[in-house]
Amino acid sequence: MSHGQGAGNRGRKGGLERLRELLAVLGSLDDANDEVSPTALASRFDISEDQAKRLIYLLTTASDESGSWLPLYLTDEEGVALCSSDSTRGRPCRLTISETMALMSALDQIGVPTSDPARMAVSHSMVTPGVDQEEVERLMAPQGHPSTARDLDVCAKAILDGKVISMSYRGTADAEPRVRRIACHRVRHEEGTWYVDATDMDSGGERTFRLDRMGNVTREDMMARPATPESATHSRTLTVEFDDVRYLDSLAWPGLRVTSRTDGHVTAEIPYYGGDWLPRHIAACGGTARADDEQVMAQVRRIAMDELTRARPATSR
Amino acid sequence: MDLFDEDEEPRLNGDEAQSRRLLSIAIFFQNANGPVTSDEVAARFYGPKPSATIERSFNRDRKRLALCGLVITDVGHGSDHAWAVDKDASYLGGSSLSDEDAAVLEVACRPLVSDPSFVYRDELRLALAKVDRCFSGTRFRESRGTSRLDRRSEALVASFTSRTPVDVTYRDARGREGKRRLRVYGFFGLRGRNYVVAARMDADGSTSSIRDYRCDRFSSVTPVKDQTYEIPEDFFVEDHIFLPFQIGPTTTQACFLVAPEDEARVRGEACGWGSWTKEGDAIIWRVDVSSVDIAASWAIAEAIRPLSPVELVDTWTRALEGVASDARN
Repeated sequence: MSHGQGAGNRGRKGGLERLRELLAVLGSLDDANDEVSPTALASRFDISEDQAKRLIYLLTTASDESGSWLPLYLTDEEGVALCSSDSTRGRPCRLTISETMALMSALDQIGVPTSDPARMAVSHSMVTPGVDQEEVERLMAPQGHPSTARDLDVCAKAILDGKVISMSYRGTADAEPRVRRIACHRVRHEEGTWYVDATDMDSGGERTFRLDRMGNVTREDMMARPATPESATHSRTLTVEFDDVRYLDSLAWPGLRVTSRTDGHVTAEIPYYGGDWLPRHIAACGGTARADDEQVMAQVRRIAMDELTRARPATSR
Repeated sequence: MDLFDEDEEPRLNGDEAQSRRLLSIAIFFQNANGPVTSDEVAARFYGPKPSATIERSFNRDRKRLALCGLVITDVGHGSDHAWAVDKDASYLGGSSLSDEDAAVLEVACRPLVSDPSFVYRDELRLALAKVDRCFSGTRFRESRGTSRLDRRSEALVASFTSRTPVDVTYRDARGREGKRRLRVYGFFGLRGRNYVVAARMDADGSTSSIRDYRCDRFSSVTPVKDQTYEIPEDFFVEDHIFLPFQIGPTTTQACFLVAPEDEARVRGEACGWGSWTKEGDAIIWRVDVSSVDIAASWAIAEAIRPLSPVELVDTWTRALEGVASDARN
């Protein structure tokens, strides 16, 4: 494997990053009417719409001394599209070594097996020749399970085509799993856990579901109502006081933001989506952490008492 | 901003002007009908300058384009240079991904671009832009919030990719700062943080201890020029991902009871550590422990129950009693 892309070869980050973005966009303009919109550019590159428009401007004005412009026309979305594939156009490029490793590592983390047809198509046609898949696995910590990849695939397709999915799900308040129908809005990954933000089609409420608690995930023919991603995540923010900061490092606290830190005491804010995950983590601090919500703290105490009650016969074995 | 209004041409900064110039070179070579002579390259892109200057500039530009995936190579003979895109190295080969599969990959992988514990997130963002070549439509209207890699983490990733050692300044858990030379062997993300696994290089160039470093504790990372290294074939990054209660020498082995409905989840959290057995209806997980206090806390958080050793059970019980006592009072 060649490792020619090093820090020593890197120019300024801003310039090279812009160039890499521009060449990726250029690669998408290889057929007549292929389109680039500032909204999509801004979202995919995580830049402002103004920056996206500047990228498009660079595309429209790139030329040599004799003026070989890309033949582009303006679109309704304030973007541009390629007039014709018979004249100057872009060509999609392979992934670089670092892009290849990033993609392989992501697919490993999701749990996509190397025998997956889409992954094989990527490996055969897009990646840099010579990158060793086994070496990526050895150095990049694969974590995913094939069931995660399978369920993510169903959710992703449902997001793209607007279909409802059905599944059995055991929520934190459920004694047994029950069948739910949901309209997926987006998937998220935090602290090693995959979440799906969705509308529960039966209750109408916006909910967050853990992917590892979903079973029999199936895409149905039924169309979902229009997605409302802005309101998909209904959480409230709690303030948590920590008297022992060790627990901030030893336990996972997704979304936690430290607001003040004084002499071994930390105040932080954290989103709370319901359920017993956060109360259980507060309980795990052994009485050294408190939330500013009496309901949550009652749940913390109940968890502790239930565990102690259940433990008596078990730990006396 | 009106894209085609000549009166409104925006002022480009240095990065943008350079990017446009390199983009122009890319468009030209991608559409060239055959090899291009050095004279034509010079006339089109570098203007009237000494040939040595043009050669240096063009070589530098080719390196930058290669970092984007476009390799322009000399296909001439001897001193008669002729330049063309290396199609095998640059362009897609074989059967490509369908548009639908590309979109599904983009949606499924996208969360890792926003995940601060995925150290390759910046590279993944650019990789996905090549995989899914759709830059229009409405499916990208979701909220943004990517946290980009900081410069030091980016330098560590670059060092790993190029197998170049780095001189670093690192602050340990006790706040002590020290300088060392490292060979980066791998990365992993855990509990919202990035870790790098690296071997420390001694003055004689040999490597000593391999250990985990938190990426956010490096205050400087400088590549060591003109040196490269190999990663030992028996190195597996998974061997270096420890659970929070496994930092330091092992002091005991713990035995936990895991509810059947929680087994898959806890196995995922366990990162491959320990052994699992089924004893009657009970699922038992045995794992090495360095800190009993943290193991007890971790067990409460993960809803698993310690069965042994007694010290761990007592610590777990005391922690829960400390929480439950409020309810009894």
